[in-house]
Amino acid sequence: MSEINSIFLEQLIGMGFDPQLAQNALEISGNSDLESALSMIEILQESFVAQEQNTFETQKPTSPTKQPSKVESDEQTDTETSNESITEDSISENELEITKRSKIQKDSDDEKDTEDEKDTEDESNSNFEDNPNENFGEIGFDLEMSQDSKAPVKSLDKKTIMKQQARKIDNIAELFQINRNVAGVLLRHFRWNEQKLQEQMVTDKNKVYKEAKVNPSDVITQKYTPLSNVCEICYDEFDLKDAFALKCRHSFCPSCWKEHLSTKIKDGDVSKIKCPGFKCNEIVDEQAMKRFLDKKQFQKYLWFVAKSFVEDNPDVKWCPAPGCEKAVDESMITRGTNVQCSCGHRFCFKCGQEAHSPATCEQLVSWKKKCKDDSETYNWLLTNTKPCPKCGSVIEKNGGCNHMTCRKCRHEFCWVCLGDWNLHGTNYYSCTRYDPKKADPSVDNSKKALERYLHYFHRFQNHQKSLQFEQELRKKVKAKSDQMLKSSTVSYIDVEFMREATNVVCECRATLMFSYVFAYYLQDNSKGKALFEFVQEDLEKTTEDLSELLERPIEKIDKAQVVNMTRIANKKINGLYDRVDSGMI
Amino acid sequence: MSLREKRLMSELKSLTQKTPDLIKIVKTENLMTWLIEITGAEKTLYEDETYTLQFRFDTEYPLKPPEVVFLQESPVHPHIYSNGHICLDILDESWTPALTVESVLLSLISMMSSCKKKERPPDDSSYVRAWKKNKFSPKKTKWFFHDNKV
Repeated sequence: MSEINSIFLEQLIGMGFDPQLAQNALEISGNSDLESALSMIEILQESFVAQEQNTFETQKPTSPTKQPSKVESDEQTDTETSNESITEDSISENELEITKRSKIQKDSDDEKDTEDEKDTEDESNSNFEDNPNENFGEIGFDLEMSQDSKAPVKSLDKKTIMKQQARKIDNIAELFQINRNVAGVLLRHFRWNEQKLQEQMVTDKNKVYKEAKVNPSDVITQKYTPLSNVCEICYDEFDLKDAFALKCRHSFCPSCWKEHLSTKIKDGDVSKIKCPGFKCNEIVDEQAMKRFLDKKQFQKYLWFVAKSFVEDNPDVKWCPAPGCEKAVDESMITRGTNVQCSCGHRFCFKCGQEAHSPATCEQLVSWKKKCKDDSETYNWLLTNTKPCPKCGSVIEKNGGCNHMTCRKCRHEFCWVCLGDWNLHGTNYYSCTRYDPKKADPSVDNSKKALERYLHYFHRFQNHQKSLQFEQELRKKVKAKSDQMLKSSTVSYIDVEFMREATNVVCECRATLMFSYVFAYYLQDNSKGKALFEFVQEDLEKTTEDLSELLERPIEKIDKAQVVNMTRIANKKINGLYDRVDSGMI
Repeated sequence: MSLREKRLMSELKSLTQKTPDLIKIVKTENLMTWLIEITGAEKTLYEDETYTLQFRFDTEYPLKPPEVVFLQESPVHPHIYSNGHICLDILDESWTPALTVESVLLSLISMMSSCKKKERPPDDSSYVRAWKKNKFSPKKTKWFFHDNKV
């Protein structure tokens, strides 16, 4: 033990911490300073509480309703508990409906089994906008959201986008007593940043008008008549009585106006539709559009304008999933930069790529490039098989957790590190850690770098593979839940925890997958890395535990245990993100 | 009668009645394809040189610009490619239905008149090579208008 270490240790013991705990924390955090040791203690304590609770739950598996408040003490649990109770209230309202539904479902089961199965699947995948009493998906969604500490949020659909946009325009128009068109141009110029626009308008109105190239006196209530009664497009004469012109008073007959505007709409060129006069910069306003376009075209126009609201606005992004016309806003970010559209697609709010937090966008780009360059050469690593560490039989992993049992020799091992599983059970899960000491000291640097990369790549890919089995897992879990529904008197809500647990397992895997990318770019032997690896390892262990619980045969599935483990896992993901976000790592 | 026909008829009528100098209408039997000759203005690099232009009007004319190319030999000019394609903003994004065949012709003559040195665009060879492969219309080209002086 070094000198610094003992000083810190004494200090920590002086603060009232358990000596063993203090020493562990100091070792893991790298003996470097008190602060990281303290945060380590915090993590250790958290996971200790979690483990404790887990054993508690395991011992009393038959009391699912009494679970949380007894053991847990911190704030988060409190909110979660209250959330749960809220959910339960809302459930009871719907329960009647649900039991009715499941009864109907059971009745029809005998007759057309396959079709029914398809139906329920459709229901759970269906859009959440439908009447909540009409589908189970909605209820599942609510449950899922209430477990998360954030308020339920929905992607913005066409209607909401248009509404939001109109509200912003109305606000500005009312506040500064200007025409809605002018307000629209100003907002577009300020990329829909209402606050910034307001500030600048207060400081210097005229400058703002000049910059956005609008004239506040552009009031459409004023009617302009064309300069001549000969149309500049078709050269026909027209009746000046109900003719239309913009402020520039260029002369076009109504039919040519209509043609011009609908051609522009057809082309999707709506950012700034101008007067057809040569070199005329007069912008055609919404009223004129309404006047000359038919209803369908006008709707299209409004939608184009609304689209620019999303495209120009840095706080709103389109969901990149093919065919999805919804947008998400910043408030929907769940963890790191990850967002989930209500269509189910998860992506990064910043770069639009797959959700990759805790790794950053830059890390993802560089990682992808690296994988592309390096994995070509090391294709053999991509194979789906590994030999059993004991008997050497070739084993293919096609789903499930990392606890493997060789069919041939019954050897139990960890798929990730190929070590004995027994060692994982008692000690902390340690196969996440890359130990440079373990590597052969004689190998040169380039090989070391490659080994280092492969270490992370291997683990990254392992979770990626597991995630690819996500659909399969969901199907399996669904089959199990259905079986539960059939075999006993439980209602749909009583098996919902299975779906929730599956979601969390998948989220854990996605987080872990990219946590290896993040770790790859952390400097070796830094104190941040030690901390991160610890948290990662902890999450990994919980994920495996939860995954294993789900893999169990149906009669051995214990709701209390699963629910509890799900919550722990959720908490641990949050913990990991908190630490990354706070810059501690 | 469609807008295109109506408009082309009246354009043709006024252009034949009062044809500006340097412009000669060659062939308009087919209303949708016109051949017109232009001659370089006096005291310019193109003085007394005559070139043939082909105008093609698709169904969206005059809401969309006509397709205008030089036939046979094209004038050597920094905005005119050796395959006859012309890089001119009013034939693309700056087109408005208020423009006419006559205004296009006058723009072209003025563009040639202000030229100081007879040379091809810098990317002439690569552009023409690409064009020879599938003979695309100049309206399909994404033009960049960087020079308004010539």
